[in-house]
Amino acid sequence: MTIQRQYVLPNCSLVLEGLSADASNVLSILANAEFKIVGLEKPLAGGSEFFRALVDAIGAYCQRLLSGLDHPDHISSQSSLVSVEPDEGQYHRLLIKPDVLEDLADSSEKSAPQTIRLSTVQLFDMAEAIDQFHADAQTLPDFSVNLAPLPRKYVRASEPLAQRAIPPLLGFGTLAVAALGLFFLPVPELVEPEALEQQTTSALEETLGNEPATDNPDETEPEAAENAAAGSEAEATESSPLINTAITDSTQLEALQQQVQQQLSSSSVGSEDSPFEQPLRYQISVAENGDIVGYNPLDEVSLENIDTTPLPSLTYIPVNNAAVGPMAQFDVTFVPDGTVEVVSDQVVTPTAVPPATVNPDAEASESIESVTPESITPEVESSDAAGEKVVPSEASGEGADTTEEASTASQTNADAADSDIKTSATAGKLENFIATPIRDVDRIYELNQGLRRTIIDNRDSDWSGPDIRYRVRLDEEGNITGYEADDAAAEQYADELKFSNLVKTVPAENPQLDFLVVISAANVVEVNPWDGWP
Amino acid sequence: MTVKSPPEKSIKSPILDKLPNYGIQSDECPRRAKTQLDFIMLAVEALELNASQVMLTAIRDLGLQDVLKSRVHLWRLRSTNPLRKFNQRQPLTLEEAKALVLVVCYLCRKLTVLIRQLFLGYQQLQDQQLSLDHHFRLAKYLKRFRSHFRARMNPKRAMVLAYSTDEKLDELALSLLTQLLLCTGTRGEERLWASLFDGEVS
Repeated sequence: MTIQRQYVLPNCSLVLEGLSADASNVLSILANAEFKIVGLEKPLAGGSEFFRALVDAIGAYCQRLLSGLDHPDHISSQSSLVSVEPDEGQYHRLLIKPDVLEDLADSSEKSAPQTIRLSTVQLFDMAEAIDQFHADAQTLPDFSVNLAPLPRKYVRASEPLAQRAIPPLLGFGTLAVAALGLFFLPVPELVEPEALEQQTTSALEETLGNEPATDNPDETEPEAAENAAAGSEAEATESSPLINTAITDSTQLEALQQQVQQQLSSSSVGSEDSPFEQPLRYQISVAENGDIVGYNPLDEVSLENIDTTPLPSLTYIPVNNAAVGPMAQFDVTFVPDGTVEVVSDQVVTPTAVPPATVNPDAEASESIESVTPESITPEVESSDAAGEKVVPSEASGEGADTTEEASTASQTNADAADSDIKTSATAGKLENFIATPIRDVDRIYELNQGLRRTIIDNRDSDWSGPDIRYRVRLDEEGNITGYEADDAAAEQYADELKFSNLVKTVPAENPQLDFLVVISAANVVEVNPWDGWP
Repeated sequence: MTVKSPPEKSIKSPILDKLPNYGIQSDECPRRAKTQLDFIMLAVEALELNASQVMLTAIRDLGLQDVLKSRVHLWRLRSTNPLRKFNQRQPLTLEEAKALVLVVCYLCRKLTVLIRQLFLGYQQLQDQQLSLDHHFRLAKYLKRFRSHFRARMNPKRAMVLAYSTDEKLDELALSLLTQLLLCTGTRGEERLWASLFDGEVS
């Protein structure tokens, strides 16, 4: 008995005809399937093979509409009987091979598949008819309609492999090209910084058995240290005419010349029985007030015999290099018989100074040529040997700090060249170097704070005046082991601060550190490590 | 406080068992599924004026309150869409996704007539080669969808950037309308559910 099932939808109806295998009313053997689509003249009819293919293709295509990913079941291929493709807009193309269609099976045009244009709603109605048939337990219960997610293997990568490979390849390529390019570049040469060179020089001095040089590379070091290195070869303090403007006024030059002449003559009295045979010649720089701020031996003999001249002891290294005003340059000649000749580079002196042994011009040019490595050694490393802080002696008479104390110091220094290191610093003078500086940052911070507190406690709360500066040396316990005032005003005020009472004598080997104390006009106390924070 | 009854067991709504797990190991939905679900719901909102209220009613009707607890929870689940401006970096569990699928299909069925009308109109416009503006209802749907999309999606995302023009958004809206139509079918839930994992199962 033939059983017919009909599923009717607005745009399409599906009619299934078949037989029941047993007495029940279940359609189990499909004989014919027929889709009647509204707007299509002929119904699509076929056997079970056609129906199977149509169900699979339409089901898969619906999933494609939902997920946007092509399913293999609806894509047209050699083997597929039915396939569905998207068409323009909301239309879809249903492609059916003519073999499976009943009415076309025996027609001549077998090769070309039949194309049916379906709107989305028509397609949906077909799918819906299939779904309704699937839901109907009375029709073809063994006929399953697949509905499963698309396995991963069917998903084509959105970008082809070649395109995905481009970025990493490009990266590696660039790296390779860069490496190749850099390979041909020379290895940069190591340029040793100057500071390092200086340190090696001072280290050399140490090995020569001299007093260890200060490891402070700060060229602004204002104080000269106690001279303990007799015969050191690196004593020449570089004349620094380049930094400062030269004195050009001829009358001033003459005055200076005389002043220096007197100064040197009076000092060199002690060395009358001179051990040198040849005249010693030096180029010296003199500040406006007559201080000798630098000297430069002009030949080997002069360099060797520098200690027999009063120059090292008379040289005054200013507290603040930058503050030194204009300078004048003179050529000094120490004659073995004890006389001293001072010749200006710029002025032909009308005074009674004996004529210069050498033509000044020649000498000047010679001075340039004869600059030995030692002579250009910066003052830092030689500062240990350059003599104690020297103020102009009474003869010069002009120095602001021509104190009795200082001049005595300068005199003692002349013969104290070989003396031992002083064990403690006294007020007004500080050893230039510290044997073992304090390096611990926390400790320095504490010392800094402690010193500041001490000064704030001691200061005169009503004080006002110009900025004053001190250099104060502390040991590890915070005791003041020495201090030095920057100028006269500072020295006066130092008494009020009771620095002298605070100073304790401590062996020089103890760790110490210098601090810069500034009391500003507004009576604000600032304390910082002398060499800056480590 | 004394508790007299044993703690409530979370009973899984049997309606969710209609949708198989397809052997997916993790409990989290893939990224594309989150996006697709949210987009479909966006399309529903563009069709239905009072969509959020209707959704809550649908949840009650389907008995899914255990899974979709509240309006805020629903919003948070939708915000798992990585393209959203206020993306919640949270997983969307399979159970929650199933519930959302059921709700969407439930709403779609209620909108069947409207969706078919829109398609009829779309077909007529295309046959007469008229622009989409000529169908009042369809144009309204597209406009609402565009504004919803632009208000909620993060314009910095590359995928969202691809929809920067009106035409592109209209295309998306129409393809979503097709999806809604498919959801109205007898096996709509299963089809939508299966499509969420296309290309994600081994």
